[in-house]
Amino acid sequence: MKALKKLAKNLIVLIFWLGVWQVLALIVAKPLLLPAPPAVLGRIAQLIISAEFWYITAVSLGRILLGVVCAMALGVLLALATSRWALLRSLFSPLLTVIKSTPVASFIILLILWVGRDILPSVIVVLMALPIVWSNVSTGISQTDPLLIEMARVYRFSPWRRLRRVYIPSVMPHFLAACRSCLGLAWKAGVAAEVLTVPALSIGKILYESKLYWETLDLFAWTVVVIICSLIIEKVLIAAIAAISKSYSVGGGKS
Amino acid sequence: MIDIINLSLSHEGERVIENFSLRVEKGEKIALMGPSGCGKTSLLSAIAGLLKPEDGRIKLEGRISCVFQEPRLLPWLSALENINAVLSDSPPSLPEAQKWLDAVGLGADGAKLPGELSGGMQQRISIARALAYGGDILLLDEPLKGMDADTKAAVWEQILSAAQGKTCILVTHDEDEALSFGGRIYRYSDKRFI
Repeated sequence: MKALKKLAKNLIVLIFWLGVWQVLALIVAKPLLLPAPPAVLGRIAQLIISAEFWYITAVSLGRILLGVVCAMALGVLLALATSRWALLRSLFSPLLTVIKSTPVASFIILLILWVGRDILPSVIVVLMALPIVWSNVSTGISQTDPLLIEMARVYRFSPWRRLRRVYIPSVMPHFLAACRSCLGLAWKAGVAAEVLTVPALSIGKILYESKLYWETLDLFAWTVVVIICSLIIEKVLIAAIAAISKSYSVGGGKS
Repeated sequence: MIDIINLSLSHEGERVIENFSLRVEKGEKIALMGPSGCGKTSLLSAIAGLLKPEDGRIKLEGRISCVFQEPRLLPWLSALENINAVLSDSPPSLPEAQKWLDAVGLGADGAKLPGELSGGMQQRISIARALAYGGDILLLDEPLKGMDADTKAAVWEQILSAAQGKTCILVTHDEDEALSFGGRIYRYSDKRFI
C-alpha cells in the first residue's frame, strides 16, 4: 500500500512536469528550439526498436560503468591505505584536491593526447568519482566507533572478521552515499567526455551530431534515455551493494 | 596470572596511578574499589592491552574476556549474532551462543538488534558474550550497572559461576558486590590500590 502511494505520488510529479514542458513547448511553438513531450516520446519509441540504439546505449553504459567500478575499487583501496598510513594521506591529499578542483574539460583536452578516445570517458569518470568515494569511505573509517574497535581487539577478532563485522557495516552508509553521488556525476561527466571526444559508438557522438545538424528532437530523446539509464543503474547498483553488505554483516555470512 | 610491575597511568591528562605493582595468581579473584575517575577503568584497559602504560609493564598468561562499562555491542548484529561474533562466528556455534543468552535470561530476545533492547538488557548480552568467549582472565568493569535488583541477583550468580577457576578482576562501587566476589579487595589510595 505504501509502495503504491509512493508510485502514485511520483506519477503525479512526473505528469506535472510533463505538463509544464508541454505548456512551454506550446508557448515557444518552435519544435526546433523546444520539442513537445509527445514528439520526444515518439522519437524514443522509434529509437528503441532499432538494434543500433541498444548497441550504442550498451557501449556507452559499459564505458561509464567501467569507470564507476574502477573508481569505487580505487577509492576504497586509497581510503584504506590513507586511513592506515598518515604518510600516504599527506602524499595523496593534495593530488585529490587538484583532481576535485580541475575542470572536467581540462582533463578531457589533456587526456585526449594521452589515452585513446574510446577509453577516455571511462578515465574521466574515474577522475570525477574517485575523490567522492575516497573521501566518503575515509570519513566512514575515521567515524568507526573506537569502542567497537577496542572490543574487537580484546576478543582477538582476526583482520577479516574485524573488517567484516566492524568496519564494513560502519563504512557502508558512507560508501552507499558515495555511490549515489558518483553515479549521477559519472553519467554527466562520461557523456560530456563522449561529446568532446566523439568515440565511434557513443551516446555522446549522437548528442554532438544532433547539435551539429540541429536535430533537437534527437538531443531531447537521447537526453531522456541518459536520465532513464542513470536512474535504473543507480537503483540496481545501490540495491546490489546493499544486499552484499547485508550478507556480510547480519547473520548468515561466511566467516 | 596477571603481573603488574611498577605501573603508572594517566586519566584525562592527570596521573592517577603511580608506581603500582600487583600480582594476581591464576584462578584468583580481586575487586578494585575507588571513586570515579581514579583510574580503575584505565587499569583494566591497560591490562586488556588497550592503553599503553606511561611507565612499568604488565605480564599476562592467557586470553582475556572483558565486560566493559558500556555494552559495546555491534549495532548491526542481533543479540545472538553479537555473542556468536566472539565464538567461531559461523552458524554451527549459534547453539553455544544461545546457551549463554539463555543464561542471562534473554533467550527469547536473540533475534533482536541492540537498539531494540534496554541498556540493562544490552549489558546482559555483553556479559553473555564475555562468558561465552571463555578466556582465562575475566575483566569486569561495573558489570551490573543499570540493572534492576532481581536481574542483578540472577546475572551475578551467572558471573560467579562462570568465573570459577578464572583469574578475575572486578571494578565496582558496590561494597556488597566486592565482598560476595570472594577474593581480595583493593581500595584506591594515594595513586595506588592497597
